[in-house]
Amino acid sequence: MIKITDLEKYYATEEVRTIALNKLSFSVKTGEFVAVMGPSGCGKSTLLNILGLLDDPDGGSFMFNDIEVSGFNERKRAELRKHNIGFVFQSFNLIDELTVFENVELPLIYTGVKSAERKERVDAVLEKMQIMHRRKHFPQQLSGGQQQRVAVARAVVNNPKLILADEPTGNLDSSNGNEVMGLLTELNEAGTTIIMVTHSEHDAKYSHRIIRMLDGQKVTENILADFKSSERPLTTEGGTLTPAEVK
Amino acid sequence: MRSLEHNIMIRNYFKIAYRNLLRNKLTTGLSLFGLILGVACFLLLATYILNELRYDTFHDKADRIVFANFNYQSPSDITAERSQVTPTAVVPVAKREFSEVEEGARFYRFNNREVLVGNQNFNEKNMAIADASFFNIFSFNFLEGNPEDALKQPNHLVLTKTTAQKYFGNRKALGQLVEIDNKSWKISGVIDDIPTYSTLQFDLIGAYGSSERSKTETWNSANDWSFLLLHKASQMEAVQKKLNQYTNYLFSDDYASGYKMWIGLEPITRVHLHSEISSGNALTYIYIFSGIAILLLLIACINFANLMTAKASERLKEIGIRKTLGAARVNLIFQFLAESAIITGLSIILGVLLAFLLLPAFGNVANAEIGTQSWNLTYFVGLIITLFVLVTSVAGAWPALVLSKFKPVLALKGKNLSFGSTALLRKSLVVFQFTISIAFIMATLVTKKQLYFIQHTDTGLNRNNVIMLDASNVTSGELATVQSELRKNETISSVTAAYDAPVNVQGGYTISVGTGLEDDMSITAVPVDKDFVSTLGIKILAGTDFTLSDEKLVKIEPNENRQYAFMLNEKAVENLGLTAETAIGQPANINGRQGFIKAVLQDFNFTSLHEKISPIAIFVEYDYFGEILVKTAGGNPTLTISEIEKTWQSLYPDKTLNYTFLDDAYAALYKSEKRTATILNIFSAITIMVSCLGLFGLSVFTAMQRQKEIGIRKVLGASITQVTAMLTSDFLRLVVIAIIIAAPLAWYFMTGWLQGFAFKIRMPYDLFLLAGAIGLLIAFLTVSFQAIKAAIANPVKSLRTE
Ligand SMILES: Nc1ncnc2c1ncn2[C@@H]1O[C@H](COP(=O)(O)OP(=O)(O)O)[C@@H](O)[C@H]1O
Ligand SMILES: [Mg+2]
Repeated sequence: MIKITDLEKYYATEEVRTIALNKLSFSVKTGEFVAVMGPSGCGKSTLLNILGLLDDPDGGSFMFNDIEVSGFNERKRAELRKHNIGFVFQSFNLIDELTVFENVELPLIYTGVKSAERKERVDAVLEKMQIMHRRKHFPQQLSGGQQQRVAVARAVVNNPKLILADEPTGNLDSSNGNEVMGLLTELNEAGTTIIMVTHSEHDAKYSHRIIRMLDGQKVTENILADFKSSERPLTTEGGTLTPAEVK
Repeated sequence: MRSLEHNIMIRNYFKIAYRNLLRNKLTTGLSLFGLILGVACFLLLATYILNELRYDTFHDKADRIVFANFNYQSPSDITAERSQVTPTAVVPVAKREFSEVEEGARFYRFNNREVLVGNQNFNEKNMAIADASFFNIFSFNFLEGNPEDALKQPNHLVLTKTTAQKYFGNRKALGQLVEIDNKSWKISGVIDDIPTYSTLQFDLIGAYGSSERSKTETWNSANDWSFLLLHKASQMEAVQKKLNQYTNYLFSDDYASGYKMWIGLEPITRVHLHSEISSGNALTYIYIFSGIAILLLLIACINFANLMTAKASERLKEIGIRKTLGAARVNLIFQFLAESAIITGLSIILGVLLAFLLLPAFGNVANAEIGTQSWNLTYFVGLIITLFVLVTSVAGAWPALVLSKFKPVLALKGKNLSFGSTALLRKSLVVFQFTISIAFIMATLVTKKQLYFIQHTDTGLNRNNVIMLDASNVTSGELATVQSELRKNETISSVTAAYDAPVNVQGGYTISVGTGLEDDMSITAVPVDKDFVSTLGIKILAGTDFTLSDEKLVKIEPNENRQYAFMLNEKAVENLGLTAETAIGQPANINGRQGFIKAVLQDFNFTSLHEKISPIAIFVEYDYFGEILVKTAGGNPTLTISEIEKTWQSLYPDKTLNYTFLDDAYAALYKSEKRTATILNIFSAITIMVSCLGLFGLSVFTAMQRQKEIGIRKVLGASITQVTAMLTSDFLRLVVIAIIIAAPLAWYFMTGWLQGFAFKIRMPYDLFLLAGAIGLLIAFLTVSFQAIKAAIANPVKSLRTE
């Protein structure tokens, strides 16, 4: 599903030029759950931003489902992103002025889903994340774990093929963290590809494979679980893959 | 000891305030700019208002001076006709008969006079004569000569400083001789230039005794301004009563047949602002200008307060830290007030400077003779201090109170849900600003449309290519020569003459029609030359135009044998109960002029469009003409004018030609409306500008505050257009609310304004929409810049907080 080759990213601030990604290469298969680890500042978030089509690489190739996307303009990236990718952040990034329901509803609004269908789908996903009873609350009124569950709900409501999670448990205690990891595993088992940045070896164990980075480069790769891919073409429409199909 | 601590504390407030302001350059800049404009406009308008309020109050005896007016009402008149000129008998009679009257003076204005100084000729438009006691009643400052006897002797003349300098340079003027009307006049005094806030305006003033009119006391014609000085201010009513008794007795015959004539009195200090007989709507303008001045200043204050609280959301942390460190609420309030004081002080200094620079230009626009002299130092200092205190507290108090109220814990978190209430207030203030701005735009557009209508509507009289020459120096005997000389010019198609300018006919007469003892009807009438109707293209509905024989019939001597031909307008005929057909040939009498109705004219506007068309009669008569009307074939007007000048010079080598275009004379009737329009125009532009400064500032902060939210939305798939729309629509919604409030406001005021016109446009609702659209567009341009900038920004940056 994802294949990056010699990916490069620089940041130029005043005099200093930081190399955030230095000829990084790896690939991720559809349905895989990959953890990315490495010390602070090694380029993990930068990598996730590029994989999430939020940012442009400065060099190298990025094939997303066999399409070269590194040269895509903002519009095309946004189009691809909103149908295929969901994000989960360390700091949840919920909009304070919107209720739980409205937060989760947003991606559907931006993909042009009709209001009745939106309600159905939001309710379904809130139910699944066991946060339905809080649908009218504002983010500030929820605990960290609840907030992250809302964020996960928002990330999956559009049935994305790929979920990118940047230290999703970083702001949570271990029980809330485990709960979120459980959710992500469930989603992965249901067929969603997941790439997760984490500092926690414990959390990384939920994944199939750990990519370890240092100074913008891949240093090692540990395969934790046997994973058999079943490459399937991506569509811009929703539609989940059943676990049976993946396994 | 305490006071020293106090001092240090206050200095500290200002030091921190100063740093804060420097750090927040955008807020500071926008607030300053808005306030400078607000203050400058306020001062300009205040100058105008002050000038108006000071009118005629500078005379030492101002409270005891009364101004007489003359009232006349015929039986058919609903209201009396009131004029500020009075018969010459009023002053001498009052002085002789009424013990309450200490002094009195008549003031008579000459039209143009040629003043010969050495061998230099000056055309003076502003010469008057007045009784000897004039300078005892009024306080004009004498530079040469003395007020007691400057006007005692016939052919004595007092000059203003400027006039004296014009005539004699730096030489002493006192005792010098000049020549006016072939007579020698001696300069008996020089006074300071007349202040702008004086009703009495002249450049040179001669002794009343110099004129023939001083020799007879008459009640039969009214041409003089009459002023009385009473022993006590409270005696005005007593004098009024006595005057009424006097005129009742004097005009008892007329009273018996239903005519009324009386002399009214008014304190001179009330004349300019309150009297309907003076320049008119001075008071209205004071209201309009005060309103604009205060609103503009308020809008600038709101900007400041708004920007300050908006900015303060970023300062919540600072406030929290200060509070946890033990700052009391008062300390914080003072902190904010110090910032407000610095900004206000700076704006006032720069605003005063700007106002000073703009004063001449504003005087031009407002068509008012105003200057720094309209101020006196005490007023000025007082106003500046008041302004400082008011603006500092209006602009600073609200943010100070709101921001100092935050609980430290919440403030430290930097997140505050209760901040929503200030957001609402901020929004209301934006709505207020835009309501005013848009109402101004609406008012501007409506006045513009009415002025356009005035300029372009068919008044039934063709003003095109008509040049009006001042004929007050031309005797009726000379007219034929002037006409035939002018007609020789190829570019001139016809030449005629009239008593008054045809766009503003004033003469009040009475007419009786028929053979019996029919009632008189009051009518406006104007003596004209026989080609008047054809030259001005007035339509004849029935009957025929004046002919040479009509001219001959009114030149017969003695007067009693003259036969007049009258033309009446439709309205006159209708009021007389006749039709165009039945009127023709009817015998008629206008103020003793015996004749018959020769033609009926289609109604045309002979006064300003403020007034309905009333009955008017025109007749040929060759006694006196005020204006010669020259119709040209069009083409280059400067060329025609220079041709006319040549002809004029050959006929009157020592008389200056004074002329105007009839179109300009027409336009001059709407000078005050033009002025309103111009001022509204300028100030609505400034108001919207200041409002937009505030809106821009708010849009910057909103974009900043919502940076993260925008990032999240973009990550979730929002397009640039969607984000821009979201950010702008929040502001535009406020503007839409403003439009909805502004429309009825503008409607109310403009309906009132239009009611002053008998001929007016229908309320142009489409212009309200246009004004709304303009407001929306300007607001959109203001906020979209920030919105687009925020929407384009890469979300990665705003989310990179981890
Ligand atoms: N917008 C930016 N401007 C400048 N430097 C940046 C920017 N984003 C990241 N960097 C730098 O790039 C490197 C990688 O950052 P990041 O991807 O955030 O690391 P990680 O997520 O692994 O901690 C760091 O040295 C960081 O300082
Ligand atoms: Mg990171």
